Amino acid sequence: MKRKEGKHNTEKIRIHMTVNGRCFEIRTEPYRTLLEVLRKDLLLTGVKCGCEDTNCGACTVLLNGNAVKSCSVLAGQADGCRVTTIEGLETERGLHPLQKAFMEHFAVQCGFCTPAMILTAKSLLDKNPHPSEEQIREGLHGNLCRCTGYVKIVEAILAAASGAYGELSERNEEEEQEGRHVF
Amino acid sequence: MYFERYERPETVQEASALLREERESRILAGGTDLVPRLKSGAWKTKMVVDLSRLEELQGVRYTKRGLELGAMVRLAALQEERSLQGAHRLLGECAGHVSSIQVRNMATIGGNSCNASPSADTAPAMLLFNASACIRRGDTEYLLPMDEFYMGAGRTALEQGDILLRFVIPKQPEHTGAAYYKYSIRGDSDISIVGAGAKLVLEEGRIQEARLAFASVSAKTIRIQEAERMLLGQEPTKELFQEAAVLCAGLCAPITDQRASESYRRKMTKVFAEKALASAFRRISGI
Ligand code: FES
Ligand code: FES
Repeated sequence: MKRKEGKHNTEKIRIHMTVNGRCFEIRTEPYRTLLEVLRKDLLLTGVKCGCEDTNCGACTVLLNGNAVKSCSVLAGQADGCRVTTIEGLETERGLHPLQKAFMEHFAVQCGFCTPAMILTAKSLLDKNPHPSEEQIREGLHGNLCRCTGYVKIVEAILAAASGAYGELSERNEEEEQEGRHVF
Repeated sequence: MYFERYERPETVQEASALLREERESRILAGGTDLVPRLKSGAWKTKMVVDLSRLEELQGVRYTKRGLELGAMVRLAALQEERSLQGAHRLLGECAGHVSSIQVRNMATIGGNSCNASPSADTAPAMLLFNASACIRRGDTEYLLPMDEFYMGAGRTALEQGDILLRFVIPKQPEHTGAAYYKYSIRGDSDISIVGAGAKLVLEEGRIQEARLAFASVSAKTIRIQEAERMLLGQEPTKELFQEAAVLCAGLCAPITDQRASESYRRKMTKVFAEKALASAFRRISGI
């Protein structure tokens, strides 16, 4: 994620996005990725940078509710979009059921893949609230766990889907907040 | 990664003018291939032109010409598309075979063809259905059969400044069945060792039209026309499909790479061509 030095003739672009319910206006170089903007400008370090090559899925965030790999999305492509990172899942009512399930089922080892796993799982459950084990495994194809704890991860998602950690549908993590933050 | 300008034009005219004005420019559709290539330095460009605002490149609709499929339709959306009719549903299945959900949420059907990867999972379906590309060149639009679109690994018939607007995919006859098998070690996230597609049209118990199209066994997506011809007018049987599959294995042109050797690819071409034919046939008769 090194930034090129000495290229000053680039004009910055202006982007508006709603990140975890807060509106941001960001001015940035056109060649930066959504991953860089989230981590470096907004300091949302729950978004991980693994391979930076669209393989590992550690950089997954939700763009208008859909899971994407933020290392291969240009910041400009997110203009006008809603972005959700792991930081946006907790509400005043506490952790998201998926977060609780991951803790209870020991689905976290080193934790590096976890934010992305949870976000991918959330987008999966939003579309298909009662997936089979196979559908979960298929849905998580783009997320690698270098600790290889997949069994526990799948168990945790099945448990969250069963409602054992609270209703999934009653939650609204993305209530928009007032005000605009300029970067 | 470095480039000077990122543009997101609102009209096709504007996009086309930008691409012609700056010759060192690249089209961004979903970005799932472009961005990694710009990052690795494999490609360099001064300007990235994002086509996501162009209404004209969106949409899935049936017209007199058949199915008109916007080049900027995302693969995840195509996978879920309910309006696809009959054998055309295979397009949704093929879209579902491309990589992971994160990639399909960004990647587009047009981008998958324009990359011209020999392993592109949606490209065989374009050949099976006799699709054409509707291309804007300068101020005119023209139709190019997809058979002439793919030129080689990473090469298409498009020139700098051209924009692929949509695919035009003819309606298929009533008794049509089509199938595609992706054979890879690690499922859809992986690149295929062989991708085998087949389409059969039946008329009074005989094969009236046959198409066989393959990914990953040549420098580009190919049809094996000798095998297609051999099927014509025949009664569909297991033996016939086997014979056609043997022809395919002999006539494809695979390479050896880290995924598989040439001879293994040929063997798997036979296996999956036969499976694809059998499955295409089952889909016609519903047995
Ligand atoms: S960091 Fe984006 S996929 Fe690995
Ligand atoms: S818990 Fe370590 S990478 Fe998944």
